[in-house]
Amino acid sequence: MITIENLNFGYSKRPMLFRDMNMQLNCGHIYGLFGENGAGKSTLLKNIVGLVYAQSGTLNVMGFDPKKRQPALLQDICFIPEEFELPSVYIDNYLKSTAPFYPKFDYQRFKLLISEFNIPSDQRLNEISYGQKKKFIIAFGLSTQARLVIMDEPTNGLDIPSKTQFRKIMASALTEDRCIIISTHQVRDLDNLIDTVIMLNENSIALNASVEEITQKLCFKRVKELDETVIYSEPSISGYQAIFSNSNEQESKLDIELLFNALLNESGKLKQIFN
Amino acid sequence: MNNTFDIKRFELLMKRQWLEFGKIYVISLGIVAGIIIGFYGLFFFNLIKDRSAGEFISLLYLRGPLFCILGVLFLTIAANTHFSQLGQKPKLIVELMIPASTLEKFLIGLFISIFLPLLSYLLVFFLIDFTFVFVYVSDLKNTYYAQSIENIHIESVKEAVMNTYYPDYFFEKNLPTLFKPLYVIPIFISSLFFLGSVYFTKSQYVKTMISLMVFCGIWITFIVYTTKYLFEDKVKIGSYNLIESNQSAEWLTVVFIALLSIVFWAITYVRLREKEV
Repeated sequence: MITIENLNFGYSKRPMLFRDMNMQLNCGHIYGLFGENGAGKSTLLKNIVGLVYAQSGTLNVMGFDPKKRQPALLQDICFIPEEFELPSVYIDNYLKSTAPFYPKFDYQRFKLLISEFNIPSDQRLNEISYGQKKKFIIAFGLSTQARLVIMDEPTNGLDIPSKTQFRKIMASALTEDRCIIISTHQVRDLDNLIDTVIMLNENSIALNASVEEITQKLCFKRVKELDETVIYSEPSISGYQAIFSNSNEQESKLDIELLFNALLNESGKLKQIFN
Repeated sequence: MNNTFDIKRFELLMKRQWLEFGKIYVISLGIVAGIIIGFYGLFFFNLIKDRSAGEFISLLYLRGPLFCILGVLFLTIAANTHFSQLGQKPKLIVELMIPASTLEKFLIGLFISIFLPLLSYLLVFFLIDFTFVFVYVSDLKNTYYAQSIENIHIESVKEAVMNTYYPDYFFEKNLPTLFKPLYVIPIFISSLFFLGSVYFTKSQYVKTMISLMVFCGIWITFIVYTTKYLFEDKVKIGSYNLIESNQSAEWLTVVFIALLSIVFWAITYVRLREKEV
């Protein structure tokens, strides 16, 4: 669905953000995109949807070049940005003015999502709270039935029940012909939701692996003492949270936060395992 | 699917813009109408008070400046408003992600920023002007014969006004005949502010205005000094030496200004296409 080849990108007067980046993203997956502040998560998403232009390299999204911003591609993309602004109109008017741009728009699903998220319909969109605005654009975006769903920090501003609803809705939104990419700092919000982890570090993709592959190759455990097989560890209340090489094919639950810290501190060891 | 232009998408885009900005647009047009009505109302009030033909003539003289000053303000603000929202990142993302082509978005911008304000301003101004002056004329008709006002050529004033303000007023009368480029200058100025709204990302109106002033300053200085250098002590300068208004020269100026406006539109389109977040 998305092919990135030798992508080089940098904002003017600043060092390059991506150097010779290569990546392939396929349908039927929910990708979690992680990285430090300034690593380029939002910028990568903006490159994919054509909001910024790369210096060189090729980007192919569903057979289109995103920088051309062709309607045929845009109507198949649902992009939920971190920063957004809604107009001073009621939901009905917004629906009347914007939904017809999306030929596959599902009005029934939109109604259902709006009621699940408890979004008030008697207020103008610019007057509702930030969290409600966020829920509104998520509901609208998912109702467009776009094949590519990209979300930048979607859980920012959501209360705890809404985060649970969000996870439930996103899990049900995945279909075989759909690709979902979620970028966030709130790694716990994506627990049990994503099936592939993408981590950005040092101008490129440091890790692009499925949860299955990660837990096959690595074992996440809480231990009292460390031995020489440990790849990375962090002290915790009753010992250590640690990542080991999974030579014994033990089953464990992926700890994204621990993996991310391991990647920052022990990138060499992890690269050896995953390449 | 045509990814360059589709009439259905164009209609949808127009409908979307109208739903979001129509109300604000109608309100701003209402403000313009209010200013014109207020201006005429003041004169009408004075006219009723002292029934002086002098008041009426003052109004006739001041209509022109009112039309120009208010028009320039309204048209430049309108031309600068639509795309200036693209200077705000959150709005820019939403606008760029709307499934319509850049050409469609540009054409909507062009219509909303230049042609709609121009047409609606002319319509509002002429309707109010026609109504008020018609009422003035009726009033004059009833009162002038009963009065003996010295030093005012009542008959000629009345005749001029009556001739001007009959139905064909909207189609053929009271149009500038001396300098044809005046017809395209409003579109030219609007086009400049239209470009400014996309070119700059913050304080677009002020920056466009300053750029225009700087450009005009440099251009005038250049013309004055070049002319001085080339023609000083070589050509007589005086009222008897002015080049008479020439039809083809005027039309050439019209074409030049129109072409320059189109160049501004083309640059605006390219800037819009290359807009990044």
